[in-house]
Amino acid sequence: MPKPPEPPGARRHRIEACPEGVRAALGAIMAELVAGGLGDGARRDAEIVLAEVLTNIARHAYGGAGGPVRLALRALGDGHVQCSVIDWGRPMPRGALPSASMPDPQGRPEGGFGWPLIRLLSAGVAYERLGRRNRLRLLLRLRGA
Amino acid sequence: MQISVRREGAALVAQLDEARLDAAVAIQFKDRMREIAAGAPDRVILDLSRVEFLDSSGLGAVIAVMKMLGPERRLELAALGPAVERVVRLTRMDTVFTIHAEAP
Repeated sequence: MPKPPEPPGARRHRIEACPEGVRAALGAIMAELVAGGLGDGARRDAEIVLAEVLTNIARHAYGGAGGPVRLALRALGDGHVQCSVIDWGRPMPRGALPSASMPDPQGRPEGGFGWPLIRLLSAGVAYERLGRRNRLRLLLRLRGA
Repeated sequence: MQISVRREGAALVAQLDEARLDAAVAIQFKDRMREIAAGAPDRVILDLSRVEFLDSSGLGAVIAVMKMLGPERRLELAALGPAVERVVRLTRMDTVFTIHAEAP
């Protein structure tokens, strides 16, 4: 299998795509980001973004059956952290990022919040299907709300 | 999934004794709240003072519990920490739930 492209000097994490794997990975990643200077508000936002991304991979890309995820973080030195997330699950529907619009709260929705939250709380996000892999590239803020 | 239940006047207060309400515990939370709701009065207050992290799965479970209580009983939220409050506000669910700064 070809090695996935990752930014140079990146911190890499191997994650099992299941709820417990996501929890364990978030603990390690958030500790690393805080050590790298992540502020309190930005910490809250980054944790929500990464939780939603990883949970979506477990639930939708792998359909709850589990599978590997590779995550790499790299500080860009301009107040942002670049995050690359790769999985070998199903592609995004229609090969594109899901809708960024928040569901209407009056409809008492029980889901559909994940991607709108990711879009609101990250500084940028891009998706590519690379052969049998999905790659998300996220830009997280080191300082924020 | 540990939830402590107490009565405060006419309301039932359910305190979630977990630091995270996320995809890992969303189903257990709903199941436990279903048992608690079975004998609950008209007003149920969910005390989230110990919850430090809420994701969209956890929020979806809270909304499912509100719907489970039916139109005649209310679910209110109390003691939201900064991370929990951020998710509730961004999803505009603060327009649906009555939110108390502190649990009674």
